[in-house]
Amino acid sequence: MKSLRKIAIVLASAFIILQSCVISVQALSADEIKGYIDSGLEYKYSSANTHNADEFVAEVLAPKAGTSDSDWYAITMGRYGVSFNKSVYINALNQKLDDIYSNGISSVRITDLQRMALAYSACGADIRSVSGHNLLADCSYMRSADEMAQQGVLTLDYGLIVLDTENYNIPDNAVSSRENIISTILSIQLANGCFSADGKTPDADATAMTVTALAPYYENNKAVKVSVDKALEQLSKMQKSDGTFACWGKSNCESTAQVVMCLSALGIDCTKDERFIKNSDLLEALLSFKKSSGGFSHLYNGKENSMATYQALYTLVGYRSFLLENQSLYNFSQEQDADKTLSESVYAPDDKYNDENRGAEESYRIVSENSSLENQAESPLTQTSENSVENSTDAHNETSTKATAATGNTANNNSDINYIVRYKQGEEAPPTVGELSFYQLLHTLGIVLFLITVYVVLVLHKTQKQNFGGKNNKPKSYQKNKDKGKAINDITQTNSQENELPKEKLENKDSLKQNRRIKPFSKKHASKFSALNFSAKNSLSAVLSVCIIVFLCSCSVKTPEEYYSQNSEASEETVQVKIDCTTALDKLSDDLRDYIPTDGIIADEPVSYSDGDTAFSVLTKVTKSNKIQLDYTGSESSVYVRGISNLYEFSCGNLSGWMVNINGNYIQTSASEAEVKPGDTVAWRYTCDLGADISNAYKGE
Amino acid sequence: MRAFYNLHPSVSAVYYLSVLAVAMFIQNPFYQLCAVAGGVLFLCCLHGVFRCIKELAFFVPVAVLVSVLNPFFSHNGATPLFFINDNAYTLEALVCGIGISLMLLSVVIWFKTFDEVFDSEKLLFLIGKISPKISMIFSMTLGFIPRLIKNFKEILSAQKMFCEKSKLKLYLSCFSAVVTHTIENTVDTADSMSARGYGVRRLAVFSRFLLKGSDIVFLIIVLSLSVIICIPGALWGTVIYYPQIRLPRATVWILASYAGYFTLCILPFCYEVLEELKWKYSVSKI
Repeated sequence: MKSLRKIAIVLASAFIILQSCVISVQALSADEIKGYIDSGLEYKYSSANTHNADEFVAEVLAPKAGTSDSDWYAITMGRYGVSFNKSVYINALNQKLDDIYSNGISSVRITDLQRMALAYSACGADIRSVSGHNLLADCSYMRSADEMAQQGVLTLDYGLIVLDTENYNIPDNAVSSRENIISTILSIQLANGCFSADGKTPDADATAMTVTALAPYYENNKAVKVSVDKALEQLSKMQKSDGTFACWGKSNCESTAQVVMCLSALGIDCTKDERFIKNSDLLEALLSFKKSSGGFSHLYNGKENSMATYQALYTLVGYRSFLLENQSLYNFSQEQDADKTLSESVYAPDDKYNDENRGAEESYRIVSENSSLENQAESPLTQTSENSVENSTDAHNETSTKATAATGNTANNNSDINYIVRYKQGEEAPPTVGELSFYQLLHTLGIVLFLITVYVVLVLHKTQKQNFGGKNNKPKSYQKNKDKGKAINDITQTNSQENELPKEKLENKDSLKQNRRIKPFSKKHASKFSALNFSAKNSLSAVLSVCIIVFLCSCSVKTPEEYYSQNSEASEETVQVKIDCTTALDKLSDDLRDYIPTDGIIADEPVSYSDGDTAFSVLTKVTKSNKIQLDYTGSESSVYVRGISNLYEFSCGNLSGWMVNINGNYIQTSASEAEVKPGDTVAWRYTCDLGADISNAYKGE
Repeated sequence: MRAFYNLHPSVSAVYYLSVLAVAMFIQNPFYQLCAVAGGVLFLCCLHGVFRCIKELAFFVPVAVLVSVLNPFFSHNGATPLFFINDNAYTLEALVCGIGISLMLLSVVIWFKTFDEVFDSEKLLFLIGKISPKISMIFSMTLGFIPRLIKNFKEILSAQKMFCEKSKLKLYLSCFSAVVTHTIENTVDTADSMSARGYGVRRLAVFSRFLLKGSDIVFLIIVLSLSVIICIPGALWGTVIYYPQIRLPRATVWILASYAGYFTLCILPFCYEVLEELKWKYSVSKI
């Protein structure tokens, strides 16, 4: 059937095209991000009536060098790899710095010095010796941690960030060290895990900036890890349903951008981390502030705002560098080639130095929503920056590149599998098989199987058609028997033909011989016979492969990262879940010592409650968040838990296994049928004696 | 290729017992690999390489399938490779599946060789050693079945040609005829047996098998190897798969056990090759 074959081919190709579309639809690619950054920069150039980066720097940025508005654009452009005449900006900064030092470095806020240090580094200058001053020392380790803390948590953050840009060595005569700064930061963390610019009210910006600063220490420092996790938890709760973050109640671009930055610094893809995906993900939320001109506005329906634009732009630069090289924005350790694009340069751990400026500028944001905000915001900052520039002291360079790169890499690569998702755009190299998601492999498998079934069905159709009609298509054995039957019938029925019997017999013999001869000579017949047998197998294999495809598509396959990162939504109501196996402690085999804590309490923590939670679903929540192994059988309505944390039923005798009680009452149904209410305590307990040792003796029924 | 075939049945039985006991009861992929290797070599000796490959071509994919499907049923193990329907497909379960499938494969191969080495006469001899009555019943049953099939075919062909019946009625009537025939036959058999004095004295069993010198040597080798294999194997040889794969520590005893089992499995192959060489040598001398 030619038409059927055509239809099948068209269907198959449509299927393949669909599959490839599905596979190729990914998150925003690094190229798109590049597009946004470029359009943002273009907007800035054109809004100041300049035509290219050099003009922009010379006419707009350099006159105001040392202010947050100019510095941040210089930093963005420097890191992004835009080629412009950096010496122009450095000279402007030098002038500013000289002014500050002549007035004394205490006359400016430390964050202004730090920001200028970043601007210097972005333009390729060595901040240990700019215009004769050691700016690095004066904005970081030669200022005591307490002094920095007095000026706000952002000062501490930026101090750390400046130190980590090139992983500078701190000399022995330093007043503060990295450890001081970190411990001070941790000590001023609020009770709920947030940080705040004014020390009292938690706000997303300060929290995000602090997380950014602490990102390089996440892997190696337990206290940092704990506090960053807490902060991220709080941030996740603070995120609004449309994915944005708010400051003083109003969703704004800068807060959203800061959270994206801090996640990129930690090596987390903000579009993939479940904690930060509400109705839309963070990146979409950030881009919702983008105007058609390319600039970004402070609030949703506002005009373009300079601060919002530069914050969004460097956030996008940072995110793009995370996508391409798994690096964060603030690695100034490599000399940037002016003509290099982001993809060619390697970035080291991201330390965002925004806190100070943000903190100071925030207080002005509430005043008005239009661009007069910038002017107001600038004035105190220009003053502070003038004072802070002059403070440079000696700094030793460690093996800065390697160390920063190493810490950055360890921060990014050995990340906790819980919630860090590696997402690499294959721009430099195509993803290897190990990086392909399992869904992609399953899709290709589905395509292959589909093609096989299509071919099989077509072949089946073909052979069926050819087998119609004709005695010759039947196997030889049928023919022979028929002839035999005929011959016998002839013998019994016709007596008068006795004389002719031998002839008939001879004829039959000849026909039999002919039949015998046909088989080896005509391959057509042979193929038809084999096709006849084959068709049964054909249909069977077609049915089987269809069943396999349906089964595979109906199962959900997840990699361990995806599975463990399925965190539930944070909610106020909680259920306390306890998993304990104290009764089995003395009977454990040595292999299980690694998986069961010495006190026998595998978990004892509150989980957030969602509607319809059952004893089993809260168990899965706990096990997913703590990466405890869980083995269960059964479908949704009849789940039976065989083992938790590698402790299986019957491993301590024939009467051993897991039982669950809710508020002390052992359930009489399966665990997935026992509903819980918020505030309940669900205790999964291991018994070695059919319940007798956990006060639930089996009394028979 | 009849060197192993000419051994005394009880010696062969002891040999098979020792090989299969270790392969089936000690969960250790090393043992099973040795068993598979030895069995495949012996099967090639008996059947020829091509036929051996053809026979195994069915079982090897089945073994692979078993090993791949095992993690779908057992979610024990510390390293999940991926999660299917929220249940872990773990590496340890996969390796355990591989161990199980190897065991399956080794047992299948050795039973194929058993089929070749032990014909019905040897089997009857062995069973007769245990109990002559069971041996007699066994042999009668074995003889019954072909006779039944032949009878059925004859009656069926006769009824098909000369009686005009529907297919169902045809088969039913043939079946009843065959059963009646069998019952009458057994009555006749019982009469003749009692006429010839069955049950008066203890049953005598004739066997043509004599215990030769080579048999005794073989038996000694097998028994000594078994002792070396089984004691360390049973004590320390098990591989623990869950929650983490733990192979037995490579002490001298375990290594000796592995080496001993390898020799045990290779033994028939070597024996056959030796006999073949001896034959070729003596022929070449002519």
